[in-house]
Amino acid sequence: MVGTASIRMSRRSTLIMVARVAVFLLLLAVWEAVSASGLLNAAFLPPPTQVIREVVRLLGEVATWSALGQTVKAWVIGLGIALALGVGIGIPLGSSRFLYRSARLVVDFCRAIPSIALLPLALLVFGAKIRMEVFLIAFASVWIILLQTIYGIWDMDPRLLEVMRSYRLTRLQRLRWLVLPSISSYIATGLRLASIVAFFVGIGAELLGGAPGIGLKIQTAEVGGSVVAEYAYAILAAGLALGINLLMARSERRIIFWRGAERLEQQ
Amino acid sequence: MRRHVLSLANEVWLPVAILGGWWFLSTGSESIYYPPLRSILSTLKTDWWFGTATPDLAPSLEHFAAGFAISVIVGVAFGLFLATYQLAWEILRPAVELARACPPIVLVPLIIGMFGIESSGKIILIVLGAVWPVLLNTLDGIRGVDPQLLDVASSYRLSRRDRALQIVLPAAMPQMMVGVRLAASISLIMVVASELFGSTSGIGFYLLQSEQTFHVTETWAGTLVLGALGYLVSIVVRLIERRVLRWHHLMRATAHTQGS
Repeated sequence: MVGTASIRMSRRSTLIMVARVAVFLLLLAVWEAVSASGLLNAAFLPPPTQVIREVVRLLGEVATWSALGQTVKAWVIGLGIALALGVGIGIPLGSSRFLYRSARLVVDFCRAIPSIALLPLALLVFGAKIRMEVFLIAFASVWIILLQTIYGIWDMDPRLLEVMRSYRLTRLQRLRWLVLPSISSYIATGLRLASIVAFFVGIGAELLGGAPGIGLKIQTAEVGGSVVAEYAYAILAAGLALGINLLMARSERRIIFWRGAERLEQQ
Repeated sequence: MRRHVLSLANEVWLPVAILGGWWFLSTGSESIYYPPLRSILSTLKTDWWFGTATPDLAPSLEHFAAGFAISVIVGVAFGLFLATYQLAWEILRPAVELARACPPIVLVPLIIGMFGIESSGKIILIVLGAVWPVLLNTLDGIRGVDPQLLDVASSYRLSRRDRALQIVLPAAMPQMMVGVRLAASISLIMVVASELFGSTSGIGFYLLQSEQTFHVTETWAGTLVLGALGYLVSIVVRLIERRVLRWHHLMRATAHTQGS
């Protein structure tokens, strides 16, 4: 019985895999057909075969990799700044009701600003440089990490605090051994959410603001009128985004799993 | 009374201090990049308070409203569909995950290239960015509905339609509202991004033009307008959410009192 059931299951999953591949092939076929039909402006919708060939060609060029590297560099620096500020400010805000209520309106307002709206101002102040992109990334992501840190502090077990207090730890020791480990899973979730926003804003700063990176490559291809390259760079940027998503989701799961295991041990 | 005054003071002292500090530090500022707050506010008044630039609000708000509304409708509809047909979701899942991971901003030049800088291209861009959180949260919300609730519904012999409208959708609503909130902020970002890329009107156009002609005070004013708009959108969404989920909060409150 079990045998037939599992065979049926594996048959089902094979069918699903085949269907999934078919969906992608179908999408490519529709793209090819629309591009060939001239339904939309054909000059702006090159056939997928050309685009894929261009992606492969670009992957062989050093300039492509250095552009991808620049995008990743700004992303890492901006996110690092947001992490330091978000956790550093979030811990006091989460620990004091007075501080939290004082900052609430400011945080709510800043968080609601559409991050790309700061681009023209940042361009004026910093110029079309990596500094401008880092500023935008840090500004867009810091609020997410800040709020997650605050929620993490709120969720801490008060009994743990009492126990630790009786051990007469210094403030720094308490931070290192109690607070940071307790809120790490919240910070990990904040970091994952922020990383997606950060990448989005970073590409925007490059594409619309001219900071160096893969987004700028899309823009220069567009200005140069090479639509195939434009699509190819866009696909590379999307691929990088997917890679970052997967990486962050995996590291978040690892941290949360570790926290979960530790909680179990404590019980 | 005294407590109310104290708590209000607690909430507003920091914003007031920041604005005051900005006002005093920027008074008589000679730097081109940091104009005095006084002149930013006066530009705000002449340009944006029923002034010369105020008509620029219309296209931006129209695109926002249309794109956001379509995202919510399409997202909820497809979310319902994929939650009902398990097999369809399993097959389409990788395609959806891939589409969601793609930062919508890279599509800006492609879509505007195809559709031009008119409204249609901008609305398509908003939908391509904002539909995913609605779709995925609807799906998650429906799949997370308590199976006991469904059992009760079937024992009452509710029709399929009644079950969907009266049991499943309300139960999934809190999760769906998370998606709606995300969609609102993404929609606004996409409005600005598409206008910064290419447009002949709108707040983004005003910002871009002032930046390129070095009218720094206007750039500051436009940024403040967009900040205020973002804040307004978040407040409106929160109000809608509170209204839609009122029964949910009530139910949780009773559950809590019963539990303790």
